[in-house]
Amino acid sequence: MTLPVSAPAAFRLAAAELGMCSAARLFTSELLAAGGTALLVEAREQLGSDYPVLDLVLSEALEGRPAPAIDATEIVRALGTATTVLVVGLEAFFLDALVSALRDARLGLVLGEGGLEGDLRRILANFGGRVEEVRMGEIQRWAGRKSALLTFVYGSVGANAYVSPAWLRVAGPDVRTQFRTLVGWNVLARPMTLYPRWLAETPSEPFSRVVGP
Amino acid sequence: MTAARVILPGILMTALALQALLPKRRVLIVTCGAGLSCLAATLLGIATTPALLAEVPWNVLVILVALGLLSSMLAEAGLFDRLAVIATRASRADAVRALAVFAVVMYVVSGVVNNITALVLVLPVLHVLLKLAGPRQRYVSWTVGVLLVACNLGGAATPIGDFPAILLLSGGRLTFVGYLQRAAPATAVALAVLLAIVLVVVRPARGVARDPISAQLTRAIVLAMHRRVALDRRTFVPAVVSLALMLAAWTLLPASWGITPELVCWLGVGLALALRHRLGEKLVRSGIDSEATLFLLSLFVMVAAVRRAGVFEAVARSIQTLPISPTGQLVVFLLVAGLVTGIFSAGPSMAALLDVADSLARRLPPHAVYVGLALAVCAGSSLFLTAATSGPLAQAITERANLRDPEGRPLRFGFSDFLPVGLVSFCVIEATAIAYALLALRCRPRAHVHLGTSAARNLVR
Repeated sequence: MTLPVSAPAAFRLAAAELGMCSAARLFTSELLAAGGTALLVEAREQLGSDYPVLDLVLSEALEGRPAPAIDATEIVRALGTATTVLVVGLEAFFLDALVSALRDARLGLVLGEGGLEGDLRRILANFGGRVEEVRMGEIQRWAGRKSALLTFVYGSVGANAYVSPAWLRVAGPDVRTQFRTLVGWNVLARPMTLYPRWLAETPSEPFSRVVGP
Repeated sequence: MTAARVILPGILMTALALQALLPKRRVLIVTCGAGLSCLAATLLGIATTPALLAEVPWNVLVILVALGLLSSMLAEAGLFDRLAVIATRASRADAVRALAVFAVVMYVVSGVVNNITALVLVLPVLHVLLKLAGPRQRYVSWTVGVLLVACNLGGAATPIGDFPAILLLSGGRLTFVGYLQRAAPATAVALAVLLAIVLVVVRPARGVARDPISAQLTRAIVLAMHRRVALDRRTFVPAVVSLALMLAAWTLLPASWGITPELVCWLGVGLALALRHRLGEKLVRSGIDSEATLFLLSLFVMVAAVRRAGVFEAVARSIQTLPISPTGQLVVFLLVAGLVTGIFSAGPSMAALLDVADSLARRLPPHAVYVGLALAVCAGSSLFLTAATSGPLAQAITERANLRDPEGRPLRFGFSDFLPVGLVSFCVIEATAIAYALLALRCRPRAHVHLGTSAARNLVR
């Protein structure tokens, strides 16, 4: 069994519509089921350098540590009494858990432009109207005493964390003071070992809390 | 031959050729061509611009816009996301099966809703599968092309599937059942033959990965992309109820009431949008495909100028004065109808050719002429990408999908990409049209013709 020639394009499409980590989890489990660890090794060789999040998830699986189940309990605790949550960046499987856990909160999604563009209508259709599209220029409308900003963190090194590039445009000094809390949800078990392509580096200090494994 | 008969068709042909060569400038090219046609017609004393605009079949544009809005509403309801899952499961994400499954689905759907609607609904789903399959240019061209042709065949299968058939129905030339029982089997045979040729002889899936891992990944990704998509009944029900009412009105309302298909469509879609007024307002403001509408409008203006120059009448006269039997004249007519439709598109050419068909139907069994004409127009609609209303739309949607091959090269679906599909499809459908007409003529004494009232009056007259 060898990796299909369409695998790079398939991962790119999946990452655009599901998010890097969610797509990596899906790819890893499907490849493992289809061709065992040999296929994971091949996928890491062929795709790893282009997609460092996939590289990490594959390496974890190869080391016998499959991705843990997604649990939103801690993130809900970190959000506290926020009734409005603005999510920056996409991780579909994590967002599914958050939507289920926050039954009464108003949820918005900012995607921005990170080089991968999915069909936003199709992305939002999976949340049954619970998650609204928020454009960059509309972020101020979501600010307030009971509003929280949340983004997905792809590991941290020292005082810095890796996030979706959209976060850099959203979480400027002026915006930070307008939200009750800034929460990071670390979706990776450990920091990436390759150059974090598709992601951006940001100081961890502004986050009220970073939740994760 | 007058100057008008050279200049006006010349402008049309030049515009069509240029837009085929420069697909990224096609709307600008045909819009300028339409303006030049108006200027030439005015200077040559053929017609004024208001006169040419008055000849534009606005009913086709109304149907195009209205059904486009309805399709947007159905898309908002999540219907096509559900279709994505069903189609992916049915095709098992295999390249060959996907081509056949989607073609059959499009054929069936196009028989019930306008083929533009059907295409807008299903094409984005196919694009996802194509992206995941690691497609080659040849596979994309043939898959999207066959899909377009299946749309045309489905549209010709029922009297409400496409505008030419609606014209026949609304004009009282054939009854609903009379058309359906003749056209549906003929188009089904044409589709089966076309699929057999494409899958067995052309084999466009050669070079496309068909390994089980690729199929498994594709299925998993498509299912994940639609993992929690549910049908929004608040939007779906008004859209479907309106569509059902429109179908009933198209089928049951007598032509003598004057409630034309485009009016039914206008009111039906208006009702659906009004029932979901917030979404309806949003769609009306931003959901109209102005690109396809402007393209067709410009095409219609140029064709109107050519018609004013008397080109279509000259063709009709030539056929009727041919020194051959009426059967031979019918065969020639069907061939000409197919070619003329290929060049001028279905709406305008159908309107022009109906006069010729009416005169032939006085001497031959009407169903042989009219159903044969509908099939020949379907063949012509399938000849060039610009011939069918849905062609430019499919081109635009496919370009927006930004398909790439496994090496990252962009994949196109333009005029030249569709041409091989168009030529094969034209031959298959045109042959079916002629075979149907000859068979109908041979069975003439036993044929039971369902004629509407106005056509019967025409025949008596």
